[in-house]
Amino acid sequence: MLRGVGAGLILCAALLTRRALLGERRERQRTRRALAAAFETMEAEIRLLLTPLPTLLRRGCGAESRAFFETVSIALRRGGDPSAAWREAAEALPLPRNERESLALLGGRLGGDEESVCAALSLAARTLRACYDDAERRRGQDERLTTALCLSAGLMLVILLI
Amino acid sequence: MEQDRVRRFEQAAELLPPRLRRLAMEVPDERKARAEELRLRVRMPLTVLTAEGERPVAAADRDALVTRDDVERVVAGVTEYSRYASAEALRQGFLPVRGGFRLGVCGTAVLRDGAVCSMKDFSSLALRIVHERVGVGAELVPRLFDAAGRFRSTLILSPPGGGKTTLLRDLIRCLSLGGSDRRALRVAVVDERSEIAVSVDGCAQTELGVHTDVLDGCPKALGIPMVLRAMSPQIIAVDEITAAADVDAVCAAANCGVGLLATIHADGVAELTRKPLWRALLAAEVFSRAIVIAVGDGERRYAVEDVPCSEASARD
Repeated sequence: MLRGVGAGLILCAALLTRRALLGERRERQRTRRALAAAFETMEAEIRLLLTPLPTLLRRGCGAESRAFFETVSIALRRGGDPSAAWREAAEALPLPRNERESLALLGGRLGGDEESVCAALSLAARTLRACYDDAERRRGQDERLTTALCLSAGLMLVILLI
Repeated sequence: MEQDRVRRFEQAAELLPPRLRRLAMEVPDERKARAEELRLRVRMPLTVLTAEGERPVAAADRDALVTRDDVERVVAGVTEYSRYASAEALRQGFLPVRGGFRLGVCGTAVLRDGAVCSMKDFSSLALRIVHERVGVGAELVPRLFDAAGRFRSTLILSPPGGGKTTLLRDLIRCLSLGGSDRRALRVAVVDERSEIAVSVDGCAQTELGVHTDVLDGCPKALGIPMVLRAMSPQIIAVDEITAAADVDAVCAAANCGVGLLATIHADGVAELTRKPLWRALLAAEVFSRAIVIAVGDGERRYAVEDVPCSEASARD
């Protein structure tokens, strides 16, 4: 009876781990999508209305990217260096390291002229969209792999302990 | 009054990096009150410009020297790190600043197809402390109307630094607010160089009255027909008529029955008849009144004169 309960708990833990991993993946995707949309909106606003950075940051886009833009916006309001705040905020994003690094680089280009800022925003949005699409394409495979790994690890632990 | 001027100086000093701000704050109040500009030049001491001339804020030690980074920080702060949004103003060499200040910039011009498209490597900044003199034009306003109570188009004349824009701003305010003996008028301001309203994010930073519409950053030749169509003003106010296209736009507006209020760099009415551009303006008989500003002993005196339209026409 006790072994049965133990095995059940281990399998539950494996399923919870799977859920957490898939949740993280979903959050990454939501962040990519929200940031890409925000950068595209920013680019369009700059091209059409030359909206200044503080206004663009205040508006942000979507719950997933709001924290990121708020961090930079607050730093700007306090008279701090927005590039440094941007880098810091990018480092805190739930994204893989290479994506965070490319986003951090964008912060250094925000002080330029219209063309360079728009080009940087467009590139960042395209990169995030590409990552998003790539992850979507691999979603079924990734989910199956995660499920298989979590369940097999749980079963292996059960077998070893029993 | 003096306290107000000191406060304005301190507000302007807030735009400087902390080290320079501290030095500017240490300037005696009496000098703060007379300050017209704060000037920053790379590798030179920060100076304060008053009517008597330019003087450094502190002894020329290393701390008082302006660095390239200081200049870049001031520009970045004023443009809110959005240089692209201020590209047009930068192209013209100045930036309107929140609070009603104005930052003149100097550096390396970026040319494209023979025209200045931007500015880089800033080397000098002139932070102008715009002082509003509310009420300075109040006594003059009644003299700008004819016996039937119609506004007579008026030119404000003075040499550079004579206070034309300050007077123009207050006349706009007075006309827009109206008075006990005259009704308020709708005034449209075509503020090509953001010097009259000093608009930031669409908000005028100076007091222009409740019936005033401001078209900011738009060339006069384009802006005058725009406000005429869009806002149906009773008076259009512009600063510094300097080009033939401006004269044409002013004449077109006058033909639509709108009153005009404008400034021109000239010593007096006589000088208007000597320059071809002004002769064309006089020949069109748009302006019938002129306010001539004379500066002497640190005081400004205002004289309202009739503009010799018919004489100019005859000469042409």
